[in-house]
Amino acid sequence: MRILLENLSKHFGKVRAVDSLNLEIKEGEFLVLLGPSGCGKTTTLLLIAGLYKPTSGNIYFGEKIVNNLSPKDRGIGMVFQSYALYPHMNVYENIAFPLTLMKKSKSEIDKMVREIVKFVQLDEELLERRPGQLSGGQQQRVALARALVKGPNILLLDEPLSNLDAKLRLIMRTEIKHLQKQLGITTILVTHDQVEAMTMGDRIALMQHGKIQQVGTPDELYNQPINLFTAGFIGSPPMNIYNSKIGKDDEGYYVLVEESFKLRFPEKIFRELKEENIFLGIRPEHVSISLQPSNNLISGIVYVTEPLGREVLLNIQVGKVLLKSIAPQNIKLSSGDKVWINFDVNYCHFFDKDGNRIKI
Amino acid sequence: MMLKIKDGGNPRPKKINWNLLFFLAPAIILIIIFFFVPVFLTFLMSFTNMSTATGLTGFKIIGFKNYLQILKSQWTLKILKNTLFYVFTTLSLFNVGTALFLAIFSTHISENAGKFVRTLWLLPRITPSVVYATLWTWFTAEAPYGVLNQFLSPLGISSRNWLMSTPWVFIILINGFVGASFGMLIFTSAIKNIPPDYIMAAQVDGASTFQTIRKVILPMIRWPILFVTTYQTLSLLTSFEYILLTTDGGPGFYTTEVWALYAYHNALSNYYGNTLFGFGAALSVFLVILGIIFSIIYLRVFNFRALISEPKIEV
Amino acid sequence: MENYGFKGPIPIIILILICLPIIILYGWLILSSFAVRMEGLKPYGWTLNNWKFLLEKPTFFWQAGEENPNIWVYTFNTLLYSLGITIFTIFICTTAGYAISRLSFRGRRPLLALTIILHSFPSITLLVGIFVVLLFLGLYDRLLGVILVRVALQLPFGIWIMKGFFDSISWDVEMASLVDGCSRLKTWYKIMLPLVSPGILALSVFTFLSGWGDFLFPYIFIPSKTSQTLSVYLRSLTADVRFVDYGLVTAVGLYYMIPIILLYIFAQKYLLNIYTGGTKG
Repeated sequence: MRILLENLSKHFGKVRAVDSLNLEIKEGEFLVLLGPSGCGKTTTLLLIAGLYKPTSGNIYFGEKIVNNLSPKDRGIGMVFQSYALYPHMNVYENIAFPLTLMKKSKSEIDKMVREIVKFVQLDEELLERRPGQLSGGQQQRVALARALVKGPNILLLDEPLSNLDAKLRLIMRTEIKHLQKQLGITTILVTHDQVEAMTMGDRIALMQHGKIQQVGTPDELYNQPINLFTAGFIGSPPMNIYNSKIGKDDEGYYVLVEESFKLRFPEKIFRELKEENIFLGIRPEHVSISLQPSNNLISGIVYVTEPLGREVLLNIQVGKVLLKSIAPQNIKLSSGDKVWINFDVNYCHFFDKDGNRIKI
Repeated sequence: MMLKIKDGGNPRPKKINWNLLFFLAPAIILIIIFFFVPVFLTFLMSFTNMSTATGLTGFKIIGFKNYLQILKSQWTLKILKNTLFYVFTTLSLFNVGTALFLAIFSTHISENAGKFVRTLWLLPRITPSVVYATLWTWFTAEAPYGVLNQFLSPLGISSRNWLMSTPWVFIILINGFVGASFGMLIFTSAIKNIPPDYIMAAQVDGASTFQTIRKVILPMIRWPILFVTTYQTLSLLTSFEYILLTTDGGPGFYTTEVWALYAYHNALSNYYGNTLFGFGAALSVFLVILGIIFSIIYLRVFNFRALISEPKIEV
Repeated sequence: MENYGFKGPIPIIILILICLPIIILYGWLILSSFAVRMEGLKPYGWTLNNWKFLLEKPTFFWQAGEENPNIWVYTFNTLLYSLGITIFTIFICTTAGYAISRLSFRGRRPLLALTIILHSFPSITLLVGIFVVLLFLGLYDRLLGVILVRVALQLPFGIWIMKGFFDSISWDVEMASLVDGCSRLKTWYKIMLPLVSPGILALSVFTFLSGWGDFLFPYIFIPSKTSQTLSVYLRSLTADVRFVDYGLVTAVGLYYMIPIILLYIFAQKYLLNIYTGGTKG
């Protein structure tokens, strides 16, 4: 089922939780609403679910406007952050609940429950238990089964993984994605975790202050951030972003980073950089270091090293600037060591003083 | 597997919200009939001479005569004094004083002993008032029946009916033993809610148990103390059930008559059979106004905004 | 914390002193109900005669003549009275409490403010006004009338308590049930009511107990002998101080207290919550 949000707004008193949102979610697509807490992503989800009513704007399911349709009539399944299993019912009754409300026959309900239980790989032995007796992962599967059992057209997931421990989160991440692809169900997932968003979504809508900052594939958001917010939000460790100035000396144009050091780029780049004050961004993996002194490299001092296992995150001080760089884990460095830094100029991002990307 | 989606395009026309009616109508109707209407009637009746003799239809509007009569009556001052004495003494000695003592004491002895004390002191509150009053009338009765006389006669104190000879002492005891439990429970839960870190810190700093109570616990429960004090003031001002059941305002003329009882006697049960609804209503008006003032103060003290968070579902 | 608290023999003496008066009062009640005669705390001879009122043939209000209704009529009336109050109170407080806690509608704030104001308002001051209202409605001297009065006066407290219980239920659960296909009404009774059952239990026990012990309301508003409750009956037994049969009075009193003591023992945990959670002195 295609979903279209058209100038969708939701105000709570003076707070604009969702502000003129426009977004299309295609049939069968897995879309992630990503953003920091309070950005309006959950409100958007609840608007789609029908639990909130829009202040203005429209919500379309297919070609129909559903603004005033009750949640029960929208053909949606939903999984909540706390799973929201009914504590007074056992697992079987929880999963069967949507079906009993549809007044299906007992045998039909039983058949559908057993089918969905198998589908989400839930142990049949657990059916008699109460939700309180289940582990987080099992509760998650029950919640998924309950959301999917009535065969909804749309699946809504509100931070479904945030209550799981790290290991289980990886497992469920893969599994939810797999289920979604198998069913081909239009799915919207809300999360604040950009790794989750990157790994699960076909597309990501990144939100801030009730507005969408950027919509695109994970690759687009990572490699072509449209503004400073996206650049800073996507990626872990985050992108290095510096207040910079463009200048010219005997050797030609340069970018002066935080009044600390100069970077030189091919001439053609400067043709696009019209303003004097810009922001320069570069991801840690595009900052490489060398232990050998070199004239065209910038020298810095290792501030602190953070081993990540597969690699090491180096924090290097250059003048006033603290720079993050990813290095192979076999590099032997400790605080105070002197290193030489190389910026991969092909991967530098430029933003104007308002934070918008300057296309090169 | 496609579910059919019903059409929800046009906004629903404004109609009666049956849900809301179902959830709220019973409560609102009862509150109107038995709170609002009686308040209104009390005010109206206070300007009439309505009584058993006039019935509900034959009364006349007499303006402020009832109020003038209250002002001129030789008993008004006596009853006012009684009321203030009763409220102040019971409140300070029992509803706050004993309550505080019981709460502190029962939280500083073993858990089980503390529970026992509190359970026992809650007994008067849950005992039917009639039974409770009987216990005290017997306790204070003349020799050879009264328990108190049995205890006191070996000390050479002559036997008497204590309730009749020292009525105020026992009115205060009777109400106080019931009243203490309210504050006791509130204070106990407040004390138990003090984070243990504070008490441990005081212990580490070398404070004795008494010092800890005085310097840590008491200051931390000052809000509950203020709450119980004001709340119980209002309760005592308007309560008269136990007095009615024991001395009934006596012995003699209005010895232990308090304002609320006086209003009740005049309006609903006097010795002459002709009950004065109008005059009783005028007496009640004073209590009603006090009640309204106190209640509005509570609304301010209760942090109203914190109590009402917006609903998260709008269907 | 090991060394914190009162230690030694003095606390034990204080403990005994503060508990003694209450033990004496209630001890006397128990002794007297089985004694031929009491002088102070000293019984003279044991007997079960005081309890022979229990042997009266159970009759009910439709059988009882105006002349001499017996203990079973009063017990039945008291039961009817307290159960009536409890059932009405629970129904109205769970509906209104849910609405105030959960529904969004215009006037929700004023309604909650009103609940708080009435909650601390001393309803006993309205006796005269209520008396006239009952006369107008033709409900004076009828059990239903006094039940409605008691329910109404208890509402602000009960609504407040139930609102608190509804407040503590997670919104996610209610949202889930709406998405699963419930209307608001269905959510209320299929999901929310089971989840606030501890609150319903606590409020039921509290309401039943306070109704069971009620004196003033039945005394004032139902003067007829056939619809009297145990408290009013007991009062009539003690009315003339000179001829009181204390054996009978104490036996009836103890009989009257049995359900209270049983409920108190079994539901103490819930009751303590409600005594401190609500604030009715």
